[in-house]
Amino acid sequence: MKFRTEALTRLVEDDDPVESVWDAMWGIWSPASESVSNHYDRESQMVQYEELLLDVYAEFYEDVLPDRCVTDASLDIPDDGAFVVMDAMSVREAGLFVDFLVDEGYDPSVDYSFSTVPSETTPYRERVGYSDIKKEYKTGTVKSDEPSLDGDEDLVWCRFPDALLENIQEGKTKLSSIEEMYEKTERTFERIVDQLDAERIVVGSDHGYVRLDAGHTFPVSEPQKNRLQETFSGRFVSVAETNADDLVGERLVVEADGYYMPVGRYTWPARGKYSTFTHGGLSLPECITPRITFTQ
Amino acid sequence: MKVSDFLTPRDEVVEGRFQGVLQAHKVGSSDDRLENDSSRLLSMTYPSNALQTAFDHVDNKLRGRDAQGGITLSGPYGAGKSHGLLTLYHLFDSPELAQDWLDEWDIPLNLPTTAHASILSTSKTDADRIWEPIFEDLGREDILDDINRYPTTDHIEELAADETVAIFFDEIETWWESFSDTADEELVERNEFFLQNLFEVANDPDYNLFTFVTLLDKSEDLKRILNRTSPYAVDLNSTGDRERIILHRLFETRREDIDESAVRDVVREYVDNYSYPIEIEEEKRYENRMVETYPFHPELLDLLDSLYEGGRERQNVRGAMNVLADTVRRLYDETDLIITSDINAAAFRGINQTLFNRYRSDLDAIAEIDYGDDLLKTIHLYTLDERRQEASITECLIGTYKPEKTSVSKLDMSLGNLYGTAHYLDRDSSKENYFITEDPKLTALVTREQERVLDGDHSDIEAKLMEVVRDDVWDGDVHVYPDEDIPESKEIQVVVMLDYLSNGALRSELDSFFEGRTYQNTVLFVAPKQEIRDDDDIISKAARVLGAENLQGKVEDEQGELGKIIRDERRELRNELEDRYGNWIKWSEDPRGGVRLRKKSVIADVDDVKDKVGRDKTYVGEKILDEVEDAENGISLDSMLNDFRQFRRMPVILDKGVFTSALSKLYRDEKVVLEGDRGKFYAAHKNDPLPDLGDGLTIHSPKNLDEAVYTKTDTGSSGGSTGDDGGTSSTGGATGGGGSTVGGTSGGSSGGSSGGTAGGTSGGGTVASQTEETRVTLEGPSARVLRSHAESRVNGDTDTVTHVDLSYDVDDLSKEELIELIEALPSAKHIEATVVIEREVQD
Repeated sequence: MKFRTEALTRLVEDDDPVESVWDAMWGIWSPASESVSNHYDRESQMVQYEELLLDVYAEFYEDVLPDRCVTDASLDIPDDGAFVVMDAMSVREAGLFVDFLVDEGYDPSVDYSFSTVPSETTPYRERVGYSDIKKEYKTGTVKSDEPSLDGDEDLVWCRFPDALLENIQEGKTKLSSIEEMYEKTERTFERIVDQLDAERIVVGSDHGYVRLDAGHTFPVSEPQKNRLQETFSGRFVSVAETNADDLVGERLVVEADGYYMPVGRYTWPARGKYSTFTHGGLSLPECITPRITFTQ
Repeated sequence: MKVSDFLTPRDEVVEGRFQGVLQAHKVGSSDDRLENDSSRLLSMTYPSNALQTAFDHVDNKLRGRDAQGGITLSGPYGAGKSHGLLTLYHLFDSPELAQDWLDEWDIPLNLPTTAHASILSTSKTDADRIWEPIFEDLGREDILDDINRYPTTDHIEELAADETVAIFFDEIETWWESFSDTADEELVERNEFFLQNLFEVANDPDYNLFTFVTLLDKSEDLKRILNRTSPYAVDLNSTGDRERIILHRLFETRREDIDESAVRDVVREYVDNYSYPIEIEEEKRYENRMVETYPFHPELLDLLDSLYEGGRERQNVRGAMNVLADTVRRLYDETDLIITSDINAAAFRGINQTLFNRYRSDLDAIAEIDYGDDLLKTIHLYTLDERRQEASITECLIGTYKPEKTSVSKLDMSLGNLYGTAHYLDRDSSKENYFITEDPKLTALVTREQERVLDGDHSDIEAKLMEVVRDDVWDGDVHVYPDEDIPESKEIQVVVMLDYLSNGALRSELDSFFEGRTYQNTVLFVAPKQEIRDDDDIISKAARVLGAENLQGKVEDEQGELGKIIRDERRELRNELEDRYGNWIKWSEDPRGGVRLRKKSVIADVDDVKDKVGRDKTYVGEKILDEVEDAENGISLDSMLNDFRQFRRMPVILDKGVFTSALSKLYRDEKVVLEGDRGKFYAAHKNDPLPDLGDGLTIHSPKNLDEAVYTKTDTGSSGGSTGDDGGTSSTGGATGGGGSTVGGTSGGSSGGSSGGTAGGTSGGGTVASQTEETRVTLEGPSARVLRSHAESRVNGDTDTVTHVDLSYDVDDLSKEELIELIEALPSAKHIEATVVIEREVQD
């Protein structure tokens, strides 16, 4: 299997294994499919790659990724432009955005960055000093698909797609489709770009998200599942609240920066309302986030 | 050549003043009329055989060879009775002039030099006592005074005692029949006695009394009265030289002055070209007759004879002579022979106005057919003949053919085209005779439209064929290939092919169809067992259906006959097509790779196709197992269903129920494990009930899963190893002992650029040549948390801790507890602790 061989070779040979992992991720999601629906159907390939990575290089989850999330999470506003945070934008949406931008006549370049651990907005904002940034730069917030910007904002924080993800599914009830989520996000993104005067725009996100619907998880045994269920109420838990060293020992969980988080797509049945589109854990699409740069 | 090269029409003909119908009562008119102008009248009167018979009777009585002076002139309307009566009248009224005319024609009749003549037309004189105007006209009112109830033979003998007297009655029958048998009984009797007496004296050899009566054979009663004395009857209709009368009447040129040889040349050109399908017997005789009737074609004159033969006067029907005169006026200088189609059909509209309207209304429809109007007119005129009511092909062609215009074969083709184009043209079952009908001839029109459709490009026919296959044969439940687009669909679609193909061509065609198509296994192809599109019979039937439907709204169809024809034709086509379906194309996995094509016989019914497809869930279950065993990560239920819909190597799933039923069985048999959201695994192995088989499940083979995932185990044993909050393990203790630095700022990041390329390296063992001081905050409620932070935020390879500020927020420690805490601290180069104390103060 070419995918597997190539992935393994790169992991061994590259100085920075994240480079290899990102290239594999980007290779799955770009170029985007003609239809949004078909595009999101690539999730299985993503799962396959993540499982492979766990099999052959578990240290990536245990050491490399947490380390980079703790040390490299960043938000750098370009001197000659603006930074747009699309909350929870993952590598999946980046593939679609890049095609959209190319269609619009831009020449975007793509790179990657990191969320914090846990892959949540609040620790990210703390880590990048968001309060200080707001004092120093002009900042705008977008909460609907009809944004109204002055145009000279240095930083725009858009609540999409994160605010829409939780609407896709609640328990077994499908509220909205993933296509609708994306289309609304893209519509909003387009309007933000239209309204910004900045010459150079960097688009990033504070974290991505993981899909935990059927077929997109790593299987675990019943006892392990029960242990995970007992340990976690959400996707992460503070080491102050519990001791999950046994799960760490079983390589189901990683401890990083004061939190326990499940590795990759290990998950457990949730009681009551739950979302299958979530974040806070330590999986590739949650923690390795895209950065798109283009000039107007 | 032209008619004018041989014959000179009379001035009145050329000038349009021709008086074709003579009225006896106009003899006394002061107007310039033919009736009262004996010279003109006689000059244009041809002494026909019938007239000469009458002359013989007159001559015999005048010479004393015969006593009978009563003569009836009979014949149908237009036969020339009034003309004959007027001719005889002028013999007696203008004997000198008439004698010259008789001599000119070599007629052996010596007229008396003096004679009295009186003509009585009941259309002008409505006398109760018919003798009175006669006696008055003859100047013998004196006799009237002696008459009591009616003139006796004495009175009449007195009238003709001294000289020749001729009395003429025109149209007496109508007058006679107008009497009522009861109310006018006496009057009838008196008039009857007068007529009896009159004819008796006319039959008396001692008196030169002549009595002429024109009869239409309308009154049997009158005939009975007249026949008592057996007057001579002259039938003007069977004169035998009718053509001569007409020709003489219309043309100045005497027959003997015509260049017969040249006329024969003209005629021969016609006769010589009367080829198949024209049939004439005794060609030479026919030619001779044409010469005799020149410039009129004998068929035209025969037709006119037939049309007027009914003997009834019809309103709006002009006399034959007028019709011919009008034709001569229009064409004598243009054509060499006057044929049936030269006649103005409007002259006969009075015979049957409806048929005339039908004929006229069809002229537009046949405008494109060469000489179609001439042919249709000829057929129309023959249809008006009440005895025939149709025209033979020969009559149609002879009535239309002129050598300088076209050929007989072209005319024959036009005649064929006429049928089915003209809405009101029909033909008999032998197809030898044509006629105009009052109702549109739909079958003929359908046939014609069918031929027209077949002559054109066949795309319309194929579209109709496609429609009938889809809607009639398959009840609209199918798509037709390749004529219709077959949409991409997850739902089962039956697709019917119109082309009969060999196995190789079929395979190639379908491979091409399926290329690039996602849902290949939802398309059920049915191919015909015989040719359809390339079968002439089928195409012809489809063209007939199309032809019939094309006529809708274009022809009158009050009876709904067209709708019935359409239904019948469609049914016939449907039956024919049903017999040709078909074979369902079944695909199966080829062990050598790819898919294999097989044909399964089906009838033209979607349900039958589905029955053949079958609903066997065993085979479906086997396929599910094959697929999931090859998929390490399992296959989502949705994706598996899609596989069944996409790949032809899979069994066809007619409905989702077959699939879920097969899956349920596999689950119960512990052959599959199902995964729900967020790692929820359902397995019959651990007695999980079957979950709702919604799309949000993933199907796994147990072979691809760790047994622990789907087997039931005692959860209590593994839970025992969990440590409690607060961390009392050895790792917790070690961290707690090491943490000491207190950072001045929070959230220190390494300041990595946006690009991952700027990230730090993960390799160990590197010795930094320079160092910088940075502060890292570790905080939390327990040493475990600080340890975790230290693990994450302090790099073991590059960082050396030089100072630890340790700050504790504590809840009211006692001195003993403080000392216990201090004693637990590790030793260092220098330790400094500031303790914040809330000390009680003495007031």
